[in-house]
Amino acid sequence: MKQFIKYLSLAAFFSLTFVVNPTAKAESMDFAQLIVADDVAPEERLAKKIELTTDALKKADERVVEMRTKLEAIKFEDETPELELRNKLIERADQYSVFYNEKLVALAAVQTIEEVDLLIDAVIVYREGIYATGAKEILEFVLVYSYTPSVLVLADERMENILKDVTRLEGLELIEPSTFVSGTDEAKIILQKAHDLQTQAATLLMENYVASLLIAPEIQPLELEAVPVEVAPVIPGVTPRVLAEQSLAEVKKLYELFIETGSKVGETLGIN
Amino acid sequence: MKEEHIIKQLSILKSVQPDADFARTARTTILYRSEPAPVRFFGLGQSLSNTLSIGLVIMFFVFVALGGVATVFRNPLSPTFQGVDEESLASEAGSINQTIDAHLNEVAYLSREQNKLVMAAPSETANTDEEIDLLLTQAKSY
Repeated sequence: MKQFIKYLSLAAFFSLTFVVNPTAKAESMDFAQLIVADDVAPEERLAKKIELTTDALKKADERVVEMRTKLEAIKFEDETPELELRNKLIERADQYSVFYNEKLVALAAVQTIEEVDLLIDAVIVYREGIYATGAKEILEFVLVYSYTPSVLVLADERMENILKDVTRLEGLELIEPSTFVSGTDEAKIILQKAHDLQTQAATLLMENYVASLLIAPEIQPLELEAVPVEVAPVIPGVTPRVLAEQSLAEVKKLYELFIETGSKVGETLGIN
Repeated sequence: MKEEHIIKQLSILKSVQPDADFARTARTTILYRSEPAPVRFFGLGQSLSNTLSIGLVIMFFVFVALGGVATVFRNPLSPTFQGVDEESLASEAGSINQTIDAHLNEVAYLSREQNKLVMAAPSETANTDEEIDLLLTQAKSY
């Protein structure tokens, strides 16, 4: 009985430790993982490490190719700074692709766990130092010049259709004239704000780029220390990304209003 | 005399037969002659009784009428007033919200103050970069 109480107390103590201290829980999980890994034969560990790393590198390359495709799909007029920046970002995406493919080739030649770990470390350092900074700029560029405008086109079309429908319903005397004036006016204001924010985001992005040309040299070569190309914006805290996010937030708000308008029309017509 | 002669001649006609070659050719022509193509609509009309034809026509109109009514009941504003149609609006809004969040998550992931790899399971809306980093973490710790 004493033994039972003793074990029960120990179990309760450990359980309490996990509840009170999440770090201890995480550490214990890592420890459990290590025990599992220790139980595995070195050859098997090596094979699994290679498999996971290969998967990661292939996915990373696919990701970069996808970025490149998105960049290429954005069209600008010839000899504009926008086109120049887009082409530089495409070159940068190509450099990332070269890095990942080189590592894939190197991975095929590794013989030991230590070699794989070194390779993984190199990839991690590259992604944290060079890739993350550059890829963020690519994604911001796509966000500002491709995604946000495409969403705004959709919102414009929807707005136009709603206004047409409301006018026609008024013409058919199915709804009272001016019933939806306040709603549609508010929607117009929100949509205009979304457009303005997108324009500001694009302007700021290009201003930052032009400023970076004056301060920073060309894009750093592959595998060198990461140098942030982006220059601090004029207004602290306001970045192209923030402005694009605000523009998209306005679009979300706009659609809430659209749904509200649609619902009101339904109620007025006695459909809902 | 004349009458007798005529009667005699007529009685001979009973035994008149076609030439054997002509008979064979004529039979072949009749047996292997292709049937003329029936005229479709008239053919159908001819093959069906009048009652059946009228019944089918009535059924067709009833079917069309019921289909139209069902559509109107299902979506009263469609297709005339697509702009304010709630169902279409909700679907478009849902799709836009989802893709906006996905795009912003992608940028946000790479914009973290410290670009450290994920050490835990990815979030529900894990993006590709997050998945890649998780794979590398797993590979390293295996």
